[in-house]
Amino acid sequence: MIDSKDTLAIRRREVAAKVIDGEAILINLSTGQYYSMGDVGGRVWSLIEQSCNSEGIATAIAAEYDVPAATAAADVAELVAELAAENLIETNGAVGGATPVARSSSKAAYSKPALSKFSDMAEIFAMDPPLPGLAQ
Amino acid sequence: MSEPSYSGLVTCVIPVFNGERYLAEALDSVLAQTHSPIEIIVVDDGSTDGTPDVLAGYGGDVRSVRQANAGPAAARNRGVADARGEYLAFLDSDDLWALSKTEVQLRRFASHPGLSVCTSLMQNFWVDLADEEARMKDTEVARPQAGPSQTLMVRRAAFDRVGPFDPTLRHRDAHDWLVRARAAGLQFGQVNEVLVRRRLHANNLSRSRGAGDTDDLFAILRKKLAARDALGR
Repeated sequence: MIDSKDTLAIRRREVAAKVIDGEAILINLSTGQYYSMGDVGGRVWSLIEQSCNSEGIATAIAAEYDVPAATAAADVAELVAELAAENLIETNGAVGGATPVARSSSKAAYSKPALSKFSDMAEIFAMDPPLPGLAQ
Repeated sequence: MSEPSYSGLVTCVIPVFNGERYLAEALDSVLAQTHSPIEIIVVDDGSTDGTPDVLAGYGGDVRSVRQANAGPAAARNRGVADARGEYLAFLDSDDLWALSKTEVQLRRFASHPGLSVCTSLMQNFWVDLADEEARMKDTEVARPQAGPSQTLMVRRAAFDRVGPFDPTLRHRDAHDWLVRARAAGLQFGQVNEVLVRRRLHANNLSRSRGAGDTDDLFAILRKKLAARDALGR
C-alpha cells in the first residue's frame, strides 16, 4: 500500500516509458504488456518521473486543471495504486519526494486519468528486451 | 503415425555491415544445416572492412549483393527481393543457427498447415566480454528467450501479405514486422528450443544500449496506438 507521502519511482529495470505529446506510453518489458495514459494521466506520469509523491502530484494537478483538490487527490491515489498493481512503479522507501514544478497559467479542462492496458502484442514485446545497462 | 514429410526451398537472408570477424561462422552454421538445400543471400550493407573477401571465399555457395549502407532492415528487404525460397529465414552476421534449425521449423510448418510465422528460442553468448558474462550469468539475459529476426521463419506468401521490414527502424524492425503480421491475422508458432545463439560483443552491445533501441519500441507502439485511435478505440 503506497502512502500519499511516499516518494514514487518508476521500476526502470522492467519498464520503459516515454511521454509523447502529453501521452505517456509505457512498456513492461518482462510481460510485453503496454499501456497508455493521455492528458492528465500523462502529466501524472511525468511527475512520477520527477520523483514526486502522490500528495504533491495531486496538488499540482489541482493547480493545473479545473478540478477540486479532493477529487484530484482521490483520482491520483487510485491511479498510483493501479500503476503499482501493474508493477510499473514502486516506492523507493523514502518519504517526501520532489516538489512538482507547476506548469503555468490558466486551468485546463479535467478528465479523470485512466490507464489503458494492452496485452494484444505481449509475446512480441516480451521478445529480446533491451539489454540492461551496465550501470544497473 | 509418422510425422508429415516436409519440403520447400528455404532462403536465408543475412545482412552484414563490417562483419568480417564473425561472418564466416554465421555462414558455416547455415551451410551445416541438417536440411538442405538452403539458398543463402548475404546483403553487404556497404561494408568498408574485409567482408567482401570473406564472401568471395564461399564462391557459389552464397549469393551476395552489395548496397550503399541503408541499415539492417533495408538490407533484409533487399535480400527478400532476390529470394527464391518458399520460406524466408533470417540470420545476423555475428549469430549462429543451431544445426537443426531449418529442419525443426520446416517440420513445424509441415505439421501445422495454417502456420505462417515460426519463431524459436535463442540464447545469448559472450565473446571477449568476461566481466559482462560473469555479471549476467544468473539473469534473464543468459537464459533462453524468445527471439525475433534471427529465429524467424515465415512463408514467403505470408511475408508478402505483411510487406517489407520498416527501414526507418534500425533496431526493432523485426518486432515491428511481427506486430504487423499479428495485426494481419497471421498464425504464429514458437518452437520452444534454442535454435539460435546470439553473440554479444563490444560492438553490438554498445549499439544495443543506445537510446535508439527503446526509441524504436516506442515508435512501434505509437503506430499501434494511432491505429487504435483511428478505429475510435
